[in-house]
Amino acid sequence: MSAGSVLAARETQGARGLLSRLWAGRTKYLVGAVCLALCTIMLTPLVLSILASFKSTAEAAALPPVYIPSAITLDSYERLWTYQAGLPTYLGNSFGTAFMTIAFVLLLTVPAAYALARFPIPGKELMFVLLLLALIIPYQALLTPMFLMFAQFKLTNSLIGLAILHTAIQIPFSVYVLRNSFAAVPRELEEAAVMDGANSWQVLRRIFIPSLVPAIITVALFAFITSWNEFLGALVMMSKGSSFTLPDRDQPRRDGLGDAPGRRNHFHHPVHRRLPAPAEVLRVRASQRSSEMNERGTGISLGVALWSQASTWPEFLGAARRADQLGFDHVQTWDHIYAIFGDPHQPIFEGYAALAALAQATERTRLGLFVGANTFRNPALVAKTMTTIDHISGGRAVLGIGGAWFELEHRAFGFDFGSGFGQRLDWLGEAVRAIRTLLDGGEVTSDGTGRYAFDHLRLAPPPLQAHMPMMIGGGGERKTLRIVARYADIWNVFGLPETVNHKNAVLRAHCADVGRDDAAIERSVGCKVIIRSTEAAAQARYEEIIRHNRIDPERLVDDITWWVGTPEQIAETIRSYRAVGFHTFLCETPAPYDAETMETLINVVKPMVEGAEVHA
Amino acid sequence: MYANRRSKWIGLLYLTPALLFVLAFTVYPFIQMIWVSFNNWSLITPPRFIGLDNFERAFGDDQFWISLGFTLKYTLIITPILMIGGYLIALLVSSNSPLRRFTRTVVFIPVVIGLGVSSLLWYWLFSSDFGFVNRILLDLGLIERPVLWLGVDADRSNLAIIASIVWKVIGFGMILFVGAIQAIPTEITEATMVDGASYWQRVRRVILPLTRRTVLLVTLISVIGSLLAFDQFYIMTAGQPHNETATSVFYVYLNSFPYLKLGYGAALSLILAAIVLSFTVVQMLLTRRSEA
Repeated sequence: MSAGSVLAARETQGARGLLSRLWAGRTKYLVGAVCLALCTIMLTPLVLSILASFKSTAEAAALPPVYIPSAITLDSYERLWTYQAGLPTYLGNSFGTAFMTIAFVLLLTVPAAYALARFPIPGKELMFVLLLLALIIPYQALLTPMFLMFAQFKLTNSLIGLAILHTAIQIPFSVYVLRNSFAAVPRELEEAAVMDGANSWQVLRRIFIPSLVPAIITVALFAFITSWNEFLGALVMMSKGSSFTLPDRDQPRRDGLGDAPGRRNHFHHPVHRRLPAPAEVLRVRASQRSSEMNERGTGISLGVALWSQASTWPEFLGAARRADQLGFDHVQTWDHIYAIFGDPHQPIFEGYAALAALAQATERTRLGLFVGANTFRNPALVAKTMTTIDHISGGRAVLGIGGAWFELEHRAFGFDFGSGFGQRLDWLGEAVRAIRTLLDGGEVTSDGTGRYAFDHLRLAPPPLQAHMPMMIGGGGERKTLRIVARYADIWNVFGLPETVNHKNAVLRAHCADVGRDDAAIERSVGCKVIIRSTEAAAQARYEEIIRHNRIDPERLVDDITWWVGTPEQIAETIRSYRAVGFHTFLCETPAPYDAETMETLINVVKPMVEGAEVHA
Repeated sequence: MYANRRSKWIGLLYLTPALLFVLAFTVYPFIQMIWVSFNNWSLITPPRFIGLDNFERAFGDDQFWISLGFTLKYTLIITPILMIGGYLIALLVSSNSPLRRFTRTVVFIPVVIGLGVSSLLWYWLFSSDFGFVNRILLDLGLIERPVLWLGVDADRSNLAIIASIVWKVIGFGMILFVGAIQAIPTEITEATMVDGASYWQRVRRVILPLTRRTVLLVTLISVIGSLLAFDQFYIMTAGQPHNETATSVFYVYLNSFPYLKLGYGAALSLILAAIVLSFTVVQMLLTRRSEA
């Protein structure tokens, strides 16, 4: 109908002489200026994006962005050409679907419109309304049953299935336009043909179709636009996982990355397979139905812990802002003053100063250290610093602390490293007790038997938060978990699900012993996540990061905290931890910071995980 | 002329494929959706009939109301902008000087771009660090430091998305309005000129009433499009912060697919379809009245 009125409008441009006379005179310049302003506004986004497409990667990521590229490169186009399955594949998919849609639409609606316009069929009006039904029911509403039906006939993940969906969307418009066009063809033409003995099919082919070419082109064009641009249906019907035909984990690898000596399996638990997303969710549901799910339900919290090594401040700041914007619950960074991965003499930033800056630069995420090294500073000073950060951030501070372990930095800075783990943990216990009291507005005086010598110490102002959470990291069963049981609000630990499950049981015992409700402690798992749509791409990214941070890959062979894989795999890993009661995932994020992983974690993995068990 | 029994069957033969297609891929899913909406079904266990529980639950579901409220808010803000803006541009460019024809083309370009593509484009433009919206506003001195447009504050995200959608679809209404304005017979406009009516009088008394049908049609298309908005929100905010920018279709999608609450998703779909249908009916009534 829209095309119809546009066509009609073109034929009646008689008004134009008049209207231009109307606007003649002084208004002419005003109109010209408004037109030009309008064009500028409309074109700017397009021009900027076209210009940006010729920038080099470095220039495209420049802060602040530059308007005009300094040199023209085709790198972006090259990368696009080979991105994931490759541009040709995606273009082929889109064109294939669109042309099938055009074919289906025309084959169905041309005869139907012919029948509706020219044949005396009883109940014709009712059938017409039936054909227009999709106009009244939003197709978005029909996606669930369509998906179920398509799944039954194996039409999900097939271009034909998608083309059928697009055809269903497009039928009402096409029938409407074509029926009107058929009705507009003079009857004399077909009467003459019938006189000559033509049957209805010949009339359709010889008389109608030639005189309906413009209408048919309109219908085909709109079918193409609908199919080419349609998003939600494609999102639902075509699950990402299976649009790539990457070899299954069990099959020999052809990508040159697999099965090399020393390559470890990033996933120990359980065995992963590629499955389309909804099917994946189903499978996990089935396997987890009967089991566990504690009172927290399926919700998870996500945080990023940005590595402060091998980075620059603008990159670090950008990553923290991005994480904040994406909705991560925590943004954290290390408290190390020598790089702990790879070459220890790489650049690295100090933790509290970085946090203070982030407190100003972010808006809603919680901020803390992952985790503060107790040996570096007087713990009361730490409480003071974090209180200040709590004020700067508007009450978003989390005080993260642990016993510290990296001897080299202690030696280099001349910090007391103590006699061993045991002593450092004794210090930690004393420190944490004092910090809790100070944060809660109490006064601290040391009894002279411990490491610290506080004297009627109070903090003013108190933190903004009535109860600033304390996060304690570590899995030492005798001392650390004892401290956790007494003081921690968040407990972070590393390890395989069965390991952390065991630690969790020990923690529960300590809690029972000290008389604390263990449900009050948020369980967090530390991990290093790299997500790409294919395992090979994730592995490639992993290797890039290892190189950038100057890490000897051999040293990470047994490090199970790297979760490298597809969204489905990461989701399954997260579920396996959630199954043992861990709902917070603090994802260490090495430089160069990985926006794709952060975005996928929040936008794809999180819904995937949270949807898996709801309503069971 | 084919008025005999045989031609009736021939006609039906031409009609059958399309009818079967619609029965299979529109009517059947619709009926199935109604049935699913009375069940609790997650695909694993067989569906369990629970009557109207899903609908009852929808009425008590805060997130559903938040989504619906947000969608209505979005629709209420964007529709007047699109209608009035589109109409003013149409008045501006409806005559055929080269500059106006060029402007018309330029304003129409974004309509041809897919919604997904334009959403990605604006997602990039609104990026707080890399985006040109902040860069331009900073250069013009309108803001002092980069603004976090998307995903942090619901109203700000809404504003950013509305700006992007206005850019994307204002040309659609414009082109239909231009068609309608140009279709007004020259004699009528000339007669009003002879009567000495000013331009704005002419717009109000002649052009607007004579294009009323088109205005109603574009309003309906625009309102339905806004009520069913999904792509732009999915891409630009993903419902953040805290699902405050999740539209109704987004919430249906979340329930039906990632959460696999199929029965509940179907019930929400039906409620949504009923709302859209009521808008369609109101529009039809208005059109009929304007013709009478």
